[in-house]
Amino acid sequence: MNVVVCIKQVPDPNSPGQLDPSTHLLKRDGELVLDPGDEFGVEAGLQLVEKHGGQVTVVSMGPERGLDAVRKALAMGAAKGVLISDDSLRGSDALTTAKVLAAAIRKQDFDVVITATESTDGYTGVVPQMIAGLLDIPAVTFAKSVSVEGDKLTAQRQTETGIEVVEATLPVVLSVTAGVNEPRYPSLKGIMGAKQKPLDRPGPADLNLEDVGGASTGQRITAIDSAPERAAGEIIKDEGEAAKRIVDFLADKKVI
Amino acid sequence: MRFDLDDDQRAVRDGIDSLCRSAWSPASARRHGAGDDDAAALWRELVAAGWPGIAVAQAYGGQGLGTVELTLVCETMGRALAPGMFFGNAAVAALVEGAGDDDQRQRWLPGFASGEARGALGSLQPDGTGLALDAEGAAALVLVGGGRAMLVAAGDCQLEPAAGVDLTRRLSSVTLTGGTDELRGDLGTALERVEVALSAELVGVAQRALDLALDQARSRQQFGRPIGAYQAVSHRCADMLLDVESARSAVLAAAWTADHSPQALPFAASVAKVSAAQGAWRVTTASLQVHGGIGFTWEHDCHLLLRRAVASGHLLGSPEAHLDRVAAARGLGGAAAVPTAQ
Repeated sequence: MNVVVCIKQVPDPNSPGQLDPSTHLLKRDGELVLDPGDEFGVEAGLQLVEKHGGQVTVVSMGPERGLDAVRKALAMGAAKGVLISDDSLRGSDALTTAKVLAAAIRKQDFDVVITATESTDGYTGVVPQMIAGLLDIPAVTFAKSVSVEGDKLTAQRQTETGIEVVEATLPVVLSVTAGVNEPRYPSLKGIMGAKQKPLDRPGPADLNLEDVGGASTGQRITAIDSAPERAAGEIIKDEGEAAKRIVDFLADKKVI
Repeated sequence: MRFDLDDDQRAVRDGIDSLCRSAWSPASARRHGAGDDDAAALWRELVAAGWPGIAVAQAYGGQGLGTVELTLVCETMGRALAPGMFFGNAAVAALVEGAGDDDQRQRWLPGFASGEARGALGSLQPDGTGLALDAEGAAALVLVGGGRAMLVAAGDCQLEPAAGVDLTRRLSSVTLTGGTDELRGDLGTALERVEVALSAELVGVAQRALDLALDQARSRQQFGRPIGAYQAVSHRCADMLLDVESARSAVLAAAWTADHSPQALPFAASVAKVSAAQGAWRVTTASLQVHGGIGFTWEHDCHLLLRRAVASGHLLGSPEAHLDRVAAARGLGGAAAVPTAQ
């Protein structure tokens, strides 16, 4: 069974991201890391191939520095990396990103394509479904757990009202939530071996992407603004009723 | 000579950094010092990922990387206030590999490299007893003192908890109850490598103290402005950065020297140890000042860093002893004695 995992390098979520006011693009001059959400995807892919055989290929689109994120996934145990890096793709919107990734994925031998539910910088949350649409295969999203039997993938899917059990026939696109597993630390041997692993660097022409039509054909960012401040929370003073009110509150939010 | 890390070295640094950030915290360090079992889980993670053998030769099951890579790991460990297991094991492995004979290497290095049979470092006191760091659970200890290094199997000694200034590592007094095995090879060079690794840890401690001070200087407001806007604070922070960067440069230079120009190592190692020990002392005390009253509290991490800086600063030769060695190496008098662990 072969798995493709889509990964992205993002500004370190521990330091607040900033947008360049002139280009409206995210500033990428600070510390960059493999998107923490993607570590769950890489781990899920590794667990699938450890159980069923095959190999994990990681696919990423992004600037040259994105190599570090690809290498981290290779150090964790992925067998091969693909990085599509081209100036014409700078600032791509979600659809262009999905087209580029889908084109690169088509060139791989795959049964499952794994992604995070959304990136930790763009937060559009639509790329996994777009990839599935472009590849014309099912999308199983927000998976909390996953298993494969023969050509059937079963996932428990987190929804607002509870957990759905979804089955799909391979090949599928699977988006996994944080917490689906515990991502492994790259071993020292993995880190030292990452550079020796095969790495493809296709350009847009290699992927027949001439008709994608630039980074953002479908969207234009006209302005950026700060998010509204969050309203203050409610402080419950305990006069004997506090526990009950907290339980009611949690029940109302369907947390318990 | 190029003092820029290559891709592999940056990957090594980032790899150990992500492990330390998720598996260890100052709170874990406090619990470890107080006798809880937190460090065992960290050690298991380190072993599973193959870190203990980073600088041990491949012939003994290690990764065979250099002193530069070892110092990158040690700096990260210092920054995380990690317990002494990794450093002790790496130190003991370096001593046995550099100064042990074939039998000693064959017997001990595979266990040190895999981490399955951990080594711990200690000092040999004039009365024949020892003081060792994070030695509980170790398979063997190397006690260094008076120009000698004695290898002791765990079954041939007794450990008793001892009080130390550092609250993030456990100190044990060591009573020898069986035989010891002396390391009779080139102890000087092996010890100098260990001094460089220890200096790297001190750079990490200083860096953490600087990071905390900068956070405080940016966030703490007085008279309507962040305190970092006042020159008394910002100049102090600039001096701290100078100390951290100078020490880091000296450590990297010494690590490179250890791997590429070992005849110059005695000088480079002592320069690194002096820069790191004095720098870490100045930076941790300055950080405490930047923090003001909160920095003096038991709950704040400042004193953990300061105590670690003091303890490691005097381990494997005080700054004064290393300054003597620097002077001697430049023909300024004084004898170049091998520092003793204290």
